[in-house]
Amino acid sequence: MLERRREVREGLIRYLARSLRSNFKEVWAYNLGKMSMLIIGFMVLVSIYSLVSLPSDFPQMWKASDRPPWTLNPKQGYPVWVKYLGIPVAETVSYDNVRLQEARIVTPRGPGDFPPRDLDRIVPEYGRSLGIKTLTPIGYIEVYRVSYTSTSSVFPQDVVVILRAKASEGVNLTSISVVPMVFVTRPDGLVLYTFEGKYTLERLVSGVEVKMRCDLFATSYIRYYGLDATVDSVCTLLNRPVFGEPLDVKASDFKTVTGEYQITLALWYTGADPRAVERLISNGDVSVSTSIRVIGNSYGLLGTDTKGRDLFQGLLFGFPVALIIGFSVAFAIVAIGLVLGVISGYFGGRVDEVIQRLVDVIVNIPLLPLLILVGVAIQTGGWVGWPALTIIMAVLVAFSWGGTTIIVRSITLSIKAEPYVEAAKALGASTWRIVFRHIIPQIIPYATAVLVFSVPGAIIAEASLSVLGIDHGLPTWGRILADAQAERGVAYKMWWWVLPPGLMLGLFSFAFVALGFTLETIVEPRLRRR
Amino acid sequence: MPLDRRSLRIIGFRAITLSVTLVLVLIMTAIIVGATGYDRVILSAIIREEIRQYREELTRPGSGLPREEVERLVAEYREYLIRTYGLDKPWYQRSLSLIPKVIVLDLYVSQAEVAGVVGLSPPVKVGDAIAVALPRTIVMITIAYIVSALIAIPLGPFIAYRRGSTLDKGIITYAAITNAFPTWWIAMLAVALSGFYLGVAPTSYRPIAKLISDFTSNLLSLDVAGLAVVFKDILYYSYLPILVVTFATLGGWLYSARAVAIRVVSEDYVMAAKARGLSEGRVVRRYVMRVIAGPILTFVILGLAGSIGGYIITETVFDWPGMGLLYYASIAAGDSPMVLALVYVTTLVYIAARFILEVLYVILDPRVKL
Amino acid sequence: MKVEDLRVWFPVRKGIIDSLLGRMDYVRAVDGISFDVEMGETFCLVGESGCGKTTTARAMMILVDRSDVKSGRILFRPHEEVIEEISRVQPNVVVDGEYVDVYKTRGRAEKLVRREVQIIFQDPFGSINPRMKIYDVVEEPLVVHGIGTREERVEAVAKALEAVKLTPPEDFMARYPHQLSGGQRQRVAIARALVLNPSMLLADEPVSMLDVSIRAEVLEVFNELKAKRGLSLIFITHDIALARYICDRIAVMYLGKIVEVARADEIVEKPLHPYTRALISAVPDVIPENRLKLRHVPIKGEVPSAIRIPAGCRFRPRCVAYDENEWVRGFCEREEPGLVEVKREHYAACWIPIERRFEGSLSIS
Repeated sequence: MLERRREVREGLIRYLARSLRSNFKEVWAYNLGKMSMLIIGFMVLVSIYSLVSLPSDFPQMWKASDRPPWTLNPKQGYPVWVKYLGIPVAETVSYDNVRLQEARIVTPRGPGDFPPRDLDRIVPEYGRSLGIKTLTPIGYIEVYRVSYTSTSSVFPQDVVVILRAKASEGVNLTSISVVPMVFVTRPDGLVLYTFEGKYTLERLVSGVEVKMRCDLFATSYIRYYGLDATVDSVCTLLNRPVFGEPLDVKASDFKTVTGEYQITLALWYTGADPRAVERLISNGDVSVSTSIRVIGNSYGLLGTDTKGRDLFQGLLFGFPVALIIGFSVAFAIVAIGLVLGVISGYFGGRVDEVIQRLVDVIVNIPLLPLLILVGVAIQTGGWVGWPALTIIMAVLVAFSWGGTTIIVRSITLSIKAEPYVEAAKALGASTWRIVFRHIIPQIIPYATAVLVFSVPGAIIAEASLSVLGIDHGLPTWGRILADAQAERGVAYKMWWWVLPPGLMLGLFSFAFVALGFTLETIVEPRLRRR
Repeated sequence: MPLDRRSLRIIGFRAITLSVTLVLVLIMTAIIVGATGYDRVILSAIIREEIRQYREELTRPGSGLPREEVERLVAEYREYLIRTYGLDKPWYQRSLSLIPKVIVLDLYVSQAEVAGVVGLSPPVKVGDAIAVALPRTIVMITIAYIVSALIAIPLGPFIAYRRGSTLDKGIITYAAITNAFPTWWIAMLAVALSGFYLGVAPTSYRPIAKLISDFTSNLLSLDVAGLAVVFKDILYYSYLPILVVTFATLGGWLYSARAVAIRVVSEDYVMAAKARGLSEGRVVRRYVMRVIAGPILTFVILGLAGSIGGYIITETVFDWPGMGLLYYASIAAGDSPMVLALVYVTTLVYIAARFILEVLYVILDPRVKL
Repeated sequence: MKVEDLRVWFPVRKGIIDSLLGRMDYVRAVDGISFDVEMGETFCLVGESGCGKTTTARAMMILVDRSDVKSGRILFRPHEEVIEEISRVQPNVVVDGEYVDVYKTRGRAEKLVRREVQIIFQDPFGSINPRMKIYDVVEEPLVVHGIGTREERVEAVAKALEAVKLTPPEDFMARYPHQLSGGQRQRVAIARALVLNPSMLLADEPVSMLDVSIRAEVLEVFNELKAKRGLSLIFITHDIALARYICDRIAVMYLGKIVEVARADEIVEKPLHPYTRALISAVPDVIPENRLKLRHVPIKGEVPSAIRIPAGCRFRPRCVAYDENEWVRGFCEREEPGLVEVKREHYAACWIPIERRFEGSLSIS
């Protein structure tokens, strides 16, 4: 008995493999089929690429929209290539692991040497800059310098310095502190003191990102330009005073200062003997890596959203998600429909009646309102992320299998009436064998068409739910569009936000519907031939 | 046409099935709402509202109750309400008692912004809010449908005649492409482009609510001048939604019209008319149109029930103060009673529509066996 | 095989009320037939559509719902070994130590019976799964019954294909049904039936759907099988001329009952039942001169419904002999004639020959 089952299964697999290969060729024969297979092939490739290139916790990263790496990106950033379209942008430039330019122990030469002259030699910006310095660095100082060119009338958004410390065992991380001091030297010669802070090495081990601070230079800035404005009004958009000059006394508007900027980072190590620090660093027992990044207003292949998230990465992630969700749901629907349809059609009688009534009811239930209710309910209940999405998919499946069941049942009925089914019965074939060897192989082509048709449904439903406000937080095309809709005032002006995800949704849907139509055309004449 | 026993039996059968569906949906709603604790939120909202009203009653000027007395009565009342609504009982008992309230829409809107969407201020019963919003949605859908019908039905035979031509292929491609993109995304693009970029259309369509009421009041008071102004504004606020919805759904209409028309055009009597030398226009007008209007309408209207969901989302994109926006606002504001009521009403409308349509289907086409 | 008083009635769907009240109507497809088929004999069941011959065949193959078999039994005598095994597995179905009550068998016993009796259906296009290769089609019975290794099966299939003159077998094994002609497909169906070495074959109108010119090749196959293998063959057809060509004995059926049984040439040359006579005269004449002669087919009316069977002799409404023989009308109206041996090995169910044979000695009970 088992052997026979295995034989049946083997035969079925062999048959399926054979038919798959020949079906491929048949579909390819049609133009529509070619197109759809190319699109789907492309999507599969992109999905694979996305799965390997994106970090595995990308969904969580996306949800944490107020954390790095998004905080290091421009907000509402343009795609980088718009500059070729003639749109003025400020580029985002990153210097990773900036090379140490100079390091020295600065000590006062004598009692009146304050601030020490040596300091001026290594960090001349200290003396020349506008801004209140609360600390005077005396001790071991490292200096890093990078340059940035501003070419357009667009203001870069921020300057970020990223520090990360590594230390060997035994080093006392709490005793040594690092004071980063950031200076921006402008093309017009003005130097601004934009950051000052203090961090223990321990704190630096997990990484620190520091941005510009306005409060340090605001008052001096106002005095320098002779402005009739408050610190608050100047500091509301601090990238403007930094990268531009005021157009009027009220400082209501600024004009960019174009040219080469220099950003200087001075790292002052304090809390321990400078020589000890120097030794630790030269031994490699302590090392602080610095990256300096000027956040412009353009980033990435598809720009960024209002929180700085890379829309290209978001879009990329949407590919495998769409395929996986689409296929899982479609597969489940067709599997249930197939099983119930065959049972209903082949066995008839009361089972058939029951299943048919059930299908009747299910087919009449409006899916969207129910989905909305489920979505809202689970959101209130506190479920988000993958579990929420799975529940929604389950509800989708639970109410969509009706149509498939009806189709499968009618095909089963027509096959059942065929003489060869009776012939098989006559020679003693078991019900199992008849169903698996004679009936199901005939249904598979149609079932495949239904499967393909159902793939886009799931992701479109998910997108619709997201736009309505049911937030599962995971980056899908629908979710990206939903975020746009939520901030429609600004987002609708950002075509790179609204256009790509929708295009992908449409392409996805189109490809599968086209493939489904092709399959149907192939299957139809076969049915008619019978 | 005649309503014979058989048709009646079929209709009766459908009615039973659909009622079962409704009951099932309600039961499922109860389970969903109960098992996730959603109903607690809803009932708490209801209780809050009732307590607020009670308190208002008690603190009415002239009631003369001291403060502590009021608080005590309110606390008592709260206890009473909690017990009545069963917030102290397990969820399955509780949800079931919620269902009758839902059926008669005896719920209140719990968040003020939601009421604001329809231009009302609390306390607002969900039924009233929906009663205001639903017509606006139906108006938009109806106009879009009429426009689509007016375009597609005459066009159907025209294309059918030119089957295989570039026009035909173009129309099919158009239908396929617009079908692939969600209507609401096309709306997004339209609003982004015309509203935000080009400024030729409004970016938010909420004002339409007031405009319509202005229109009706002007109409009633026969203020012709005012009427003209309001009408111009109404046009400004409604042209884009209608355009977008028609554009997005026309594809489906054209496809159905084409399919039905092709079937009719290949009928022998049409061939005979052509052979007799009648011009295409003549043939179409006298023979084809009458025949195709029915099936096309039935096809598309049967699909209407399914596309209501899409319209709802399109409304949120437009910020159009109809059912869609009500949905969106209540979800965003966490107005649980409203969401529940909306789901219920939508289901009701959907099932009722299906029922009416299937009855029409049986009546109009005696050959159809359901 | 022995068929004893078989009755197969199919229920007719009535309204809800009627079925609730238990008022059922039946299509009496087979209404009490009995016959024997000897080993090695070719037996024909002849009749028009609706007479019940196909149902009889299906009943013999246990393809009819057990609940529809209202009475009677079908006894089948398989090979020795099979009887032994069945007596081990389901002893209660063994009758007289030699026969198996086919409709009582279940499970393993039923399967064993199926190995012994195979059927060839009418539709060569439909009785073979169009998606299976010929090899798979013919191999299927072996797979179902778990016989033989892969190599043994290939051998068996090849032999079966050779037996039906589809040579070289390797050529045909790889092909699909749509690549074969109707005649070839029917031969594949025969091969499939042969591969298990059954002791009995049933052929339900095997050539009716084939072009006349192709029928010969299929019939040849049958003849050869008859000669070489000594199979018992039950051949069902509506064509009495064909039956004469291929069968030893012929039974004529009308409206669910057998009306005449005799040796083939006897029944064709000397038909006793009016219906048989009508069938024979309806056979197209090959001789060209006769084609222009107006023929008189001694039958009237149309085939009545099998739900409302006329009282008395069921052929009476159509019987020309009834009209011509006033003396017998009483019998025909009141009672249904049974199948009586009115000549040596010639049975007829008609009052005219019965009365003539047993003149007066039979009374109507």
